[in-house]
Amino acid sequence: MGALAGQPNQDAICGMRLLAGKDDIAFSQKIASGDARAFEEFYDRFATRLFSIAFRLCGDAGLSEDMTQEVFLHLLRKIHLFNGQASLSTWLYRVATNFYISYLRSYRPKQYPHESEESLHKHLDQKSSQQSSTLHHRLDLERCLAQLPDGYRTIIVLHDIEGYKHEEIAEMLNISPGTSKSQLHHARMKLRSLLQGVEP
Amino acid sequence: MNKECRQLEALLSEYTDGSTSVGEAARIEAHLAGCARCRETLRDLRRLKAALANLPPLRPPAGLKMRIQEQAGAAGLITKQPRYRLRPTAGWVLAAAACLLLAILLVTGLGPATAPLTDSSAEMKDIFHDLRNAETLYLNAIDRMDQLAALKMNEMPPQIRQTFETNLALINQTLAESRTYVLENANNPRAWEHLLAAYQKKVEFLSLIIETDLS
Repeated sequence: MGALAGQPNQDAICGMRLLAGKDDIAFSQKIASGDARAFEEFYDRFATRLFSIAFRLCGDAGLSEDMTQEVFLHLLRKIHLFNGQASLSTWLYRVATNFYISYLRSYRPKQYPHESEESLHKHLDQKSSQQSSTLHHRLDLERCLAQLPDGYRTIIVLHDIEGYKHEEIAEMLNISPGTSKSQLHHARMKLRSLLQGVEP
Repeated sequence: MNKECRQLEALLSEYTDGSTSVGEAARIEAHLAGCARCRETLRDLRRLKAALANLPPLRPPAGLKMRIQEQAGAAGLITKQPRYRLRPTAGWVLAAAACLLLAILLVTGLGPATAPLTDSSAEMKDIFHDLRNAETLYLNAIDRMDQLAALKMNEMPPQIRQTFETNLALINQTLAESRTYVLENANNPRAWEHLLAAYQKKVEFLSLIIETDLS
């Protein structure tokens, strides 16, 4: 398993599920050539999701703006490496996510909090479970997501929002798939308790 | 919570994802049949997973594209585009004068309490950070409501639609003014108060449009 040291893991980039079409390759070549109009289209197609991933990974509007800016520059430098073994969108979201993870690691070293089973249950026991039937107003969900410890938020964003598998997450975060699974469980339970806390 | 609940709860996330083994699934199902607490946990985990999967994308801030284009151009990653220059015309001069007047009215109207805060304590930074995040979420929620309201207004008789459009334009104008004021006074709590109040008004008005009974 390759470590993430600021560069996207090329092994991880390969082995994607969808193959790229000819259009993707031609488009990537146009962007790589520095074509300003191609960049505009590139931005218009992908900026929303790239910003969303950044925002949800860091929980900070200002920082996610910086991250999105940096990721576009990074993608422009790397797009010549796109080889069509995956669709362009699959490739670039993966490269961008790897970049964000590295960026946040250097920005503030991430910790992967591992609350003991005891403290987690204690925390849950203190909350009333009767409120849980009216969960998940979107804004509450976004706010609680931002309140999660960094490690928990990363796992939830990658697995439950972006749809990566535990094996892929393990590779991105340099952890084992088992750790990814158990962190996801703790993260979901923590998010659940945060949501119960904000419900009227 | 008994020992079995504790052991099985750790598997409920995987069960939610459908990734437990057949044996584990059978054990969980047998336990769920007699444990209301774990059934509730499972229900919450399923709802949470669905809600997370359905979170809509967030719109990047205006101006980000231009900043990236400038940086990418400076780094030689894209060819520089010619900048569009606006020629001053009578209309533009009038618009600029109107904006200036509005800005003066806004500043005067807010009075002495609008002096920017000099307090740079960590707590104030946290508060402004939360406000910026709140604004991003508000903007995205409003975007979606705007779309629903536009659909609803298309179904309305022209006269009613025009009334709604006029009022919406006024609210949008107030919002734009408040936004400008916040951009210029990012550390002023009163500026944020006005902006979030303006967003609130827009949400209320859009809700009114969306919920209007046309039958």
